[in-house]
Amino acid sequence: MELWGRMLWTLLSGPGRRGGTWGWAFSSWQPHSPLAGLSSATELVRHWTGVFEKRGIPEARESSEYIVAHVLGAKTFQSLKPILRTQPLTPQQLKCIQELSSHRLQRMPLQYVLGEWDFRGLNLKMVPPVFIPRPETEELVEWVLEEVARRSHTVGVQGSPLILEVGCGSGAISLSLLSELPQSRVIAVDKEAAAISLTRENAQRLQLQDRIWIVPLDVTLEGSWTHLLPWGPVDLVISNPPYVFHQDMEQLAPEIRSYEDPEALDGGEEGMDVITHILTLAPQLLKDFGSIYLEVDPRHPELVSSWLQSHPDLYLHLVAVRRDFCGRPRFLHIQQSGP
Amino acid sequence: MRPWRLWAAARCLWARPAVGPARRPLSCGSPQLEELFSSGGPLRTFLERQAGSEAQLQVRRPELVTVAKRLSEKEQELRETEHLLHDKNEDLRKLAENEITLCQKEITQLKHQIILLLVPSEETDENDLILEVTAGVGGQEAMLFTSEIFEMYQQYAAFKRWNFETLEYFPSETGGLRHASASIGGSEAYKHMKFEGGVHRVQRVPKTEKQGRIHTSTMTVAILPQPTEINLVINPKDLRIDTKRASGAGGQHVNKTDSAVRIVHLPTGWN
Repeated sequence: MELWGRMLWTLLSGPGRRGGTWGWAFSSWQPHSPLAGLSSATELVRHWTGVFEKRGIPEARESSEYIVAHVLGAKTFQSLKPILRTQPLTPQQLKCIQELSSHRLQRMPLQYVLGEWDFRGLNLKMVPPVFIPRPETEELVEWVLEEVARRSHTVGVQGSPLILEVGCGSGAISLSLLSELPQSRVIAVDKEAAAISLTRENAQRLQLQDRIWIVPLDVTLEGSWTHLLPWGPVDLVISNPPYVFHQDMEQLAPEIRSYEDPEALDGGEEGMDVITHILTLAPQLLKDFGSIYLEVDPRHPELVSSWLQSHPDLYLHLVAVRRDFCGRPRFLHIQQSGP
Repeated sequence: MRPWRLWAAARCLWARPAVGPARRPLSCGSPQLEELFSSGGPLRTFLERQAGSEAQLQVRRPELVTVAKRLSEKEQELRETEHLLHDKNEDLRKLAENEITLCQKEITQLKHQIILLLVPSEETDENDLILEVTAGVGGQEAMLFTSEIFEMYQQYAAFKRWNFETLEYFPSETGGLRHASASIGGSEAYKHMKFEGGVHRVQRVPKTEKQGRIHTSTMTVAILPQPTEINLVINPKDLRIDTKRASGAGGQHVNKTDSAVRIVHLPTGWN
């Protein structure tokens, strides 16, 4: 940091190019904006990593690498051609990096800073406060795809399988399923207008809008599901519902607390509120022997199991629990069997 | 068959177009070409052996066999048509002459083709390559020399319409070049550049020399073919998958851009 300051001083105080005031425009931190033509991508990453570290921003190196790569038009810093990493950047590029980095300095999640993020190979637009897809959820989709492939008689039939997603957020789950199951149809619901809007936009971006119905709906409201009955019984229900225990909400990182919609996270006292609503109402919409796939907190498999046992009238059974890539029990497969 | 003979013949072929009315039917090509294909000679014997192999046997050079068979067919055709040159009917004689001219043209072309098919080529001839130049002994003069050579290759690549991309460039203070590397890609790039590698020496009066003495300096050229496709077979047992996602609940509780899955290839330590 000090080196940058000194370099800037010697340049600024040299044959007056811009005078001394240039560096003071950003008074909230030291003048560390490099002059155009001096810096390469590699140097900038090093510079901003230092800035982030000093301000206690987590993932300092990853953040600066992603930001610089993004401005240079690449997904990752490592994928940049060596020559692009060493040649000087334009003033516009420097300005862009400056702007994005200032957002990151405010603890904005990187996905919102860049405005986009990948999910299972799909590039999705990201806009606060719509919930950012987590990598674990990619495995939920993977599991569903495996199961659908297993019941191969449903694949290949037009409109099949018919899937209902509860709490679609950015559309990650729905759009992944649509893109990997060319015959499938999805009904995606969310109670948040911003999520509905973002899912619509992402569907358009990926040209999947013809096979998805996006419906603003709060499943916790009495009688809300009746609106969905006309679409007919669905083959499966999938959801990454808010499952954080209420008491854990305040321990979440500032990135999550300050920028993501708390309603997309908070699952009530035991994180079960939305989950139980989904389980209560799913039988009304599911075909016989239809399935529900949920992503949950590692403490939920037991809680869900006992809840289902105390609600035998739903005819739902916990068929399987699957672990995520960190070995935590994360995914539930619940099947309906009976009237 | 000594390769240099082929090359000598090939060069002559390309220098001289083998067209024109023939005086003696079978030798319309250059003398070297005819000598190469002389009946009973090693090339003929080789081609006959190739053409004679049955389809059941493994034919390692099918293209060569096809062309060789076609050549002998055409030559046979030519010999048969020759009889008509002495026919009483004038029209028939004229027809035969035209026929023979065409036949000879085709025979020469086929012989060209055979030669090209016989010249050995490496698998990597079509590849792109990395060119590296490094100044050797001789200080500033060597660095100037290196700079000149690099520029020469750059212009040669432009002349050949190859893609030339400088990857590294470390100049010296006085306009010389310490070390540079470039990626060159294009039709038969490696084939043409592969013999450039090695130490190159220059003996001259350098620009910097005040007393007019001759200096010797060197620079090195390295040529590395870039593989077009890499076939990698990894045994899953050689992989160790580390996950370091946050301790605690993970999932919705955490938002990290580092996916925290690291795959380590145990034999090489690559991750």
